[in-house]
Amino acid sequence: MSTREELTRDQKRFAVWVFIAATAHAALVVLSFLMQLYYLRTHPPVKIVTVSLVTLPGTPGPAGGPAVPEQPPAPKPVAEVPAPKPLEPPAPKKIPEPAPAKKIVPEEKPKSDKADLADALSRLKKQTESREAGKGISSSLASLQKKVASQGKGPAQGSGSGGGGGLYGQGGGASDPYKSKIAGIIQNNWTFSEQMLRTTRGMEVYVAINILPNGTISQIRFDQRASSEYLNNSVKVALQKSSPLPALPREYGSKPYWIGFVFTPEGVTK
Amino acid sequence: MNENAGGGIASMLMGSGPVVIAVLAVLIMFSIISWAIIAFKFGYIRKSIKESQDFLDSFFEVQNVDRMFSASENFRTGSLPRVFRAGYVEYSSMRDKSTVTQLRERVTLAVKREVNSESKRLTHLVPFLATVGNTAPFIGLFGTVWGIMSSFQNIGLMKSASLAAVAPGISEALIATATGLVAAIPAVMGYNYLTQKIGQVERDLEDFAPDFIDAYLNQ
Repeated sequence: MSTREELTRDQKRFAVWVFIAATAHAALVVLSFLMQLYYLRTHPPVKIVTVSLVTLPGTPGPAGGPAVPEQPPAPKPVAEVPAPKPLEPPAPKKIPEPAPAKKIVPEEKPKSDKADLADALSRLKKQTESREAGKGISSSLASLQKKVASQGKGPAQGSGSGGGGGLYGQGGGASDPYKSKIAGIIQNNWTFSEQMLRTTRGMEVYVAINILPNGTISQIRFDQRASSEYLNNSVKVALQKSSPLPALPREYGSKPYWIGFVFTPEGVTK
Repeated sequence: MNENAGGGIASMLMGSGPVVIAVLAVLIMFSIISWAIIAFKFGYIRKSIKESQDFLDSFFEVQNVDRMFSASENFRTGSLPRVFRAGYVEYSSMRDKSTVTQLRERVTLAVKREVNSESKRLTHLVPFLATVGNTAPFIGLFGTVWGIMSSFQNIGLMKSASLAAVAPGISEALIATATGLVAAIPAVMGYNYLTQKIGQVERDLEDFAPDFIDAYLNQ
């Protein structure tokens, strides 16, 4: 005996249930978003550290890596310069940390120019610590890089040849040891994983930092941001962690100094 | 991936293509309607069973169809009272106009008609649950397949098969399958429960309809 009235009443009841179900679904979706946000806040994602290799500014060739086949293995202290390409560290390898210089550098001569540079840097840092002055490191590094540049095949890569305009790539050729040093420090403080990016295309961050004579980073300026906030933020954190940097060498004068860096998923270049 | 993690599901939805979004919309609609049917039918059938039980208790106690008809006014949703009322209305209208045989035929026919009507009322909308249960996973799978196709196209354009390039697309695409299952599982469970309860009511109708007819005619 389903009269029209009963049918209408059933339809109304059903419509009410549809509305309730729709509301419940919406609430569930909103709740899941909120739960996820809450979970992310309470359980921050585990940091994945991929240590990219630092190509020392002005140093030819890739900055280390597992294999550099074209380099002659034997006694040459500095190997041949491969090609004047921009800095492209090919493989994740950590260069020796510049700051803690307690480690004693092994005596035997490494077979690649990168290793040579690393050893030389370590020795120089040791000297620097003992003397508390930047004379030794500056001259040693300068002579070392001169040596490298003289053995290289072409213009040095990385920091841009010819001292182009702006802060980036103004070093050119065998570059400033101070800049190399701070590049190393920043690289070591940079916690970044390429896997966290959906694409590496266009992922370049151009940052200029203002360094006070005592080495403190007084200002960080993003000249070009990457599309990934993760990359931008990691750069900012790395710079903040790196401050204070070593004091500015005398040749920089007593005024604050601007230095530009380019952060790419492959590493830091100057 | 970390960028996704910031917004989670929202980011994944934003990154999905139009086909996947359409599939998700259909599945969410299915889910809403399924839950509405489950809730509506659950309440309706539960009330029907309860009222039928109460009516039967009264029926065996009173043993008088006229008084039972009056009592059945209180059980308007129950299937058994409704069948009883339909038979009684036919019996009342025909008892002075026809022979016993004719009367039995007419009342039997009226009761049978009402049993069928009740069966239809009870099963109304329930087959939709079976449809959702059967098709939602496939619709979700379609969305996933489409999403993975798009993802592979992007991989080809990026010329990279790294995990970072492959995983987000597949993750986005799999939302469709997950949503399909979320829609299908309650629908199947609700369908099985409601079908079982409706079967129980229908068996009661078949069992007690002849008793009602006898009760009218033996009055």
